[in-house]
Amino acid sequence: MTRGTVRFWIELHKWSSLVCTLFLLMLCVTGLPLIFHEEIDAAAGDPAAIVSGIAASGSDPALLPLDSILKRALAQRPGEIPLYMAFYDDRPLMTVTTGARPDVPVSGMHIQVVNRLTGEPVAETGGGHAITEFLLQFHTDMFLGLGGELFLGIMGLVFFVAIISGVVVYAPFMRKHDFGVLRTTRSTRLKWLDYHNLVGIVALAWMTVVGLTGVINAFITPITKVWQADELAAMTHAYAGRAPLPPARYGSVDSAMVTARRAIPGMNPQFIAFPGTSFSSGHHYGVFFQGTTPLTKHLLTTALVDAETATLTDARPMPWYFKALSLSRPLHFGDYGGMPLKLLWAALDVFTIIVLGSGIYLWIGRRRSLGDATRLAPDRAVRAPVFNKGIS
Amino acid sequence: MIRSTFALPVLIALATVFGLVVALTGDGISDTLSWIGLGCPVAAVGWAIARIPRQPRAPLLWVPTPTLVRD
Repeated sequence: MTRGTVRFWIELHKWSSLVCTLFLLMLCVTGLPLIFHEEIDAAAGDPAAIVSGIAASGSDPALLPLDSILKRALAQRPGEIPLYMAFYDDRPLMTVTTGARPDVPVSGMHIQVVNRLTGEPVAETGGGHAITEFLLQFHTDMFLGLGGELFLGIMGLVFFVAIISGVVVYAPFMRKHDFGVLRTTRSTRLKWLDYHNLVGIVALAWMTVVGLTGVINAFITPITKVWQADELAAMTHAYAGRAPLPPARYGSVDSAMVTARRAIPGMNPQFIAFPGTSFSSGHHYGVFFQGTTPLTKHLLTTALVDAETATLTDARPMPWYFKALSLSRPLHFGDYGGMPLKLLWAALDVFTIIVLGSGIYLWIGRRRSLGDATRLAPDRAVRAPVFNKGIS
Repeated sequence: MIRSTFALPVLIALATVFGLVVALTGDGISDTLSWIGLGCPVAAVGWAIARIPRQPRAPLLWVPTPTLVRD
């Protein structure tokens, strides 16, 4: 690498890191407890976290009909209409989401958790969940809605630039050193430079995957909009221009489920979107099925069933960009390989905090300790066998 | 290999990606393989810390500290 090239990558690494570091630190710190959200919810006494047994998404005869579950849930919320029903695939619980209108924002939605074997409500989400809900909201959009979500997505992209430029500048820094060198005795600054380089390079792949899948998750709203304009519009083109179906004419959910299961055999539903919501048209029950293998359970197949007549309109798998979104969820959350995977996820999260923190330390220390006269020249940064000043 | 700038980092990155992907494909043995894959970057840092050369020191006499006894 020429002097100018190294200088360019060092500047790129410095500025991209400066832009995103504080937000990434926030994401790592709030993300660390979120890795263990199931355990925290259970410990905080969330009853939904400790129920087990027959899956609510299955077709076991002991499960109550969806229409009766819905009737009971709606009786609890007079004046509201159903928006979503969602199913656990490892316990007999399901959720019923209601709201005043089909297009209410998430803040206007109300979620009831119901045991599908008894029809009894389990607990209203919010109690035991409070801690993890708060952290998740902060982690997702800093309580700033869509703007915060997209902003953090862009910070994730800047973080990716910082990672790539960091790998490029790793080469000249490590040219004369063995992998894993940690010079801990000469100066604090040199010690943290070595830790920054070592921890950064070993966590490279994990930070890249978790960072980029986080970016995909942050763009969930625009991705859903594309799906609505593209796939959903194509699937329901026969209904285009018709007035939305009034809730009084919504037909049986169980009949719609029979139709949907016939169209997509061998899978279980993950959720039903009611007419007018983001995942359906004004006339359909959108029934979203998940696969049965560990890999395909993250991928959704859609059946759109006429909400009045329970006839099938169309069924097809979600397009590639929605598959990417679905697969990026486990890869970001780390919740797909048992407790040892969660612990490794936590260790790598702490590694990322070390990389970010040592990066700030190296930058601040540099500014405080050196004037322009002693500023490290980029060619010395390449050639000096030992250089303890780090990135300027 | 330890001298090469990118040999070990590339191997660790490949092990990480393998670990991330293999756990998606199944449970049981897939999960165990993913722990090994994702254990590589963590183990690498542990290995580097373990081989920090120790400063030669005068042997210290170990003095047992009295434990507090509650009554």
